[in-house]
Amino acid sequence: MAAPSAPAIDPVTLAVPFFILAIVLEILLARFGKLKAVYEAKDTATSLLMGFGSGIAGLLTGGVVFAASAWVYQYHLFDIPMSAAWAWLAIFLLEDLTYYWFHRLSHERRFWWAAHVNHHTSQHYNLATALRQTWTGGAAGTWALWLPLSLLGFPPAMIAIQKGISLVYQFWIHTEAVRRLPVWVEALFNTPSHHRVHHARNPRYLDSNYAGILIIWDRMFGTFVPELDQEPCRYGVVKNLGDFNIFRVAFHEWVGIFSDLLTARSPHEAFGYLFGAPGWSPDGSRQTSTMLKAQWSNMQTAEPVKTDPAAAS
Amino acid sequence: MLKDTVTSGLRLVTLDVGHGAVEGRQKSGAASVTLKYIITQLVTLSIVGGIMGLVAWVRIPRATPPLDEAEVKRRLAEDFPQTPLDQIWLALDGAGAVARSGDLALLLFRLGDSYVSRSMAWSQALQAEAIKGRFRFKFNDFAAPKASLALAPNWANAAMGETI
Repeated sequence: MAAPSAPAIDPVTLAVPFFILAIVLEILLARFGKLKAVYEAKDTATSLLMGFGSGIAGLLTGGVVFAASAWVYQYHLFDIPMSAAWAWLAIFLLEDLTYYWFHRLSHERRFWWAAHVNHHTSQHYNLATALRQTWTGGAAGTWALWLPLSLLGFPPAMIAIQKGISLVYQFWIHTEAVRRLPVWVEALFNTPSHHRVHHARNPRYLDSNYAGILIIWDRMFGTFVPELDQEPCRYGVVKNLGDFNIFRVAFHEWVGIFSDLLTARSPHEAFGYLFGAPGWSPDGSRQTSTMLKAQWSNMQTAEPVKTDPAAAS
Repeated sequence: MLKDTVTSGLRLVTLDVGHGAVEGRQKSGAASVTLKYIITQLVTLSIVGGIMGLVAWVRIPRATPPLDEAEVKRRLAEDFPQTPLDQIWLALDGAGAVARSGDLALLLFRLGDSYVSRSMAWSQALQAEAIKGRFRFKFNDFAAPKASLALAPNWANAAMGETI
């Protein structure tokens, strides 16, 4: 039986009314003091317009991505039926593992960080932030990480559906309204608490909690950091953007890479600027996450963490 | 199987060539898809506009009381840890500040209900242009090209007279 190459359902499209309803509810309930959420008009506009632009950008590259997936599928190693429950369990786990590494790469190597950074540029953490999606992810080529799933034998439609499910799952965790979930949920799944840490710029929290749906990957690969009540998350990037211009949000890191490449004095430097950790510089004059964490760790040794209620406001 | 799909698709397209009626149907189909796409985008933009309007209406940003020295110190310590501050000049509207740390100027400025910080050479900061009562600091940084602070008109003179 021929496996369908195009997905019959698109979870993201189906979820759009839920996204809208959830954002409106979060805003209204926050307005009436029923839950914790902070919305700033220009910040929200930026997030929503980035989401809108991402849809258009995705249309431009989506065909190439799906064609590549379908092409690789021609050479698949196993016949994996879309109708089998075990196949859906397998794609759930393997797609989530792939997402973990995609996400980790997108934070730890500058070329892919340039495509992903826009998602982290808001100094707010609310459901609208979830929609601040990339415009250049397709061009950066991280979609290639999912191709081995096609080679294994998962039909491209199945992969696309599971990717959609993961994206929809990750929407609702962008909120401050949910503090902590039951212990077993926090142990197994990516939750608002875990993902707040991921969006935080506090040195303690940098480069952590890359999970999509299951937090177990972070626990397995040593990147899990729990949220501490005594250290509220400060959202954004290490060097926050100076305005709300959506083109700046989408392209600032690419411009930064290009400027740095113009000053590179050797292939080694050019490689470092492109694929080094964000913040890498030949003379170490800038700071990477690792350096920031080390500096913070040294300060902690001298002076243990203090309660900082003002940072939460 | 994929090859079959592609081949049969190509065959269909080949058969359609030269058949005016079918071509016409294809064209109207494509136009319908385009129209549907445009309508979808317009609806999406309307919803985006609606949510933006709602957020502007409900007014639930963070509180942004005027900065004082302690708050400036706290915020700059987050972004520039282990950087001692020699002196601080607060903006008159409390929406930012300039601090000196040796040869460096550390700037803090409000963006919406949040703050952004940057550093620049102190000598460069002293040359900030004054436009309509605000000093414009230009950074060599695409991510934050400039900051505009309502500092006291004589802040630079006062700063130049200051000894470290």
